[in-house]
Amino acid sequence: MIAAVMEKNLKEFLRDRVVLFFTFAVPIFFLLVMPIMWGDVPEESIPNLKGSLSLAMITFLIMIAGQSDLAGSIASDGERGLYLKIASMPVKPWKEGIGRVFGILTFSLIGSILLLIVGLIYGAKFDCEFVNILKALGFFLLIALASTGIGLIIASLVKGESAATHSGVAITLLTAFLGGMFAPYSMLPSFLQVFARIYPISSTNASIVYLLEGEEFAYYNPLSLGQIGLTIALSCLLFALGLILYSKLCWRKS
Amino acid sequence: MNAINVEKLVKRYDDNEVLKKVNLKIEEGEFYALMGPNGSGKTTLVSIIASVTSPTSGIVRICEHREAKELISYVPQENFSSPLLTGKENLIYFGRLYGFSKNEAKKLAENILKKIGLSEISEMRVSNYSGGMRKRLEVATGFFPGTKILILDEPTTGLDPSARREFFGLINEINEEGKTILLITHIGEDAELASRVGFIDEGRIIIEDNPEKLKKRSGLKNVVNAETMIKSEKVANTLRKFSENKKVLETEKGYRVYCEDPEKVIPDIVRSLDKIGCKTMRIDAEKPSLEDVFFKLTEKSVIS
Repeated sequence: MIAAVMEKNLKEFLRDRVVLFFTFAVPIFFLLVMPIMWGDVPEESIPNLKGSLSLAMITFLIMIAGQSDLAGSIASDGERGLYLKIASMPVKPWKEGIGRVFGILTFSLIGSILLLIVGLIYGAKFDCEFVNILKALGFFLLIALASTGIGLIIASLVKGESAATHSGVAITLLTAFLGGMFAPYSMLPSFLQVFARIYPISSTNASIVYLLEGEEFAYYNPLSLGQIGLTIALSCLLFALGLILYSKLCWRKS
Repeated sequence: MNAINVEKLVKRYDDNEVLKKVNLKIEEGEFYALMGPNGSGKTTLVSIIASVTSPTSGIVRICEHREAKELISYVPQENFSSPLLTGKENLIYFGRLYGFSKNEAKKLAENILKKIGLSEISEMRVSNYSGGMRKRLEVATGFFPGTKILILDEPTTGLDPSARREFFGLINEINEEGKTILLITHIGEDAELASRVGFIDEGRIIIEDNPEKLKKRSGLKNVVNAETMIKSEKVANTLRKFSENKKVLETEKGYRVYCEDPEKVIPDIVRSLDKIGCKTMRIDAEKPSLEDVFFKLTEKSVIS
């Protein structure tokens, strides 16, 4: 059942041109355009900066997929009565929700690989060991967990496809900017630095940059035990809350 | 055995009692139509039977079980199939939700698509289907083995006459396979195809019988169907004088007048309407429909 839901959602995402454009093309656009705006950056740092920007854009892509595409797809299915149909079938809400999350994970994976290829062609460089790549993959999963959790929360609380999609985009852009994914952490005012460390997606992004590019590009060490513990706990909390709200509100028996 | 057995079902939204101790028994293999106007509680009743809504009190048994989702295929009013998937992909998806493996669901979907006459366009995205094709595809979810009851909520809304005929051909096939059909409608012509019809009004099933018996029980003999240029209280009052029970049913294009000998009154009706300046577009005698029977019993239009 989980696989059936995953396949359905993945096909829908890949066939929807608007979803494809906003999820894949926008982060690639930022990846290509932002380095042009860099001013006095030493020449030797540019490949690593492009590397860390590629990682930030992968995070951004996962955020759009999880927070906007997932919320929009659930709201759209709700509007056209799919939940009335499947609520009458032997389907467990949480399993259906997990299927949707797997759909987003696979969709994000396709987009991330595409983005990584564009980044590498564009000159992105990663200084890391193989074990760090594996650790980074784990952190990307954590970002997907938190993002889909937020997406499920939005879908549960905001009705209507357009409203849910736009809420997801707004939250993605706002938290990405506030969390320092479009600007170096060192340039953020101190209160936003606190936010960037607490908000699980931005702190996970910093962990990935730290692992694949080094502390110099992450600007702080996000891999302290306390920081990692907080990030994992908050990501899991967001996901669990999202799944509970989704099962209760989107499938609500009035 | 009863396919559906509803006992003293009550549904309350705050102070509004939508269903008032409803009892309903539908036998296995029966084609039952539930007819009532908007707000009569018919959709609430079927959504409780389909386990989509919880009742306030009362009991629903499906083939003697308290909950048997695997036995029901519920087709809500909305077009729930995914427009971005093909017809075949949609059926495979629903088949897998019913618990079939991917390969099993694929084979079943191919057979079902053949059966419903959509195999040639099975690889086409549903967004390119007509309204009738899409509804047939959605109803086809009732063909999956294991489902015994098909519940259809206002399935012909928006379908043209030809699509409606094709649609009911499909419903008959499903019924002939031994599956129980529960049809929710406000269209008398649709309900006439059922073996038994129940009228629901203000949260109560007021009467149920086969369509012909219902008509006999109503005592109505003939109806004059008058399509008028204008519809107004003045026109209605003029026509009421010719109606046996002094009541006329307002329709989309005019009024229905109840009388024993229509041939006799039709010229008088035309003359009277002419006198008040209302042109008669078309007037003819008809046999009473289930809408007329509902009106006779409740003094309400089922289409309102």
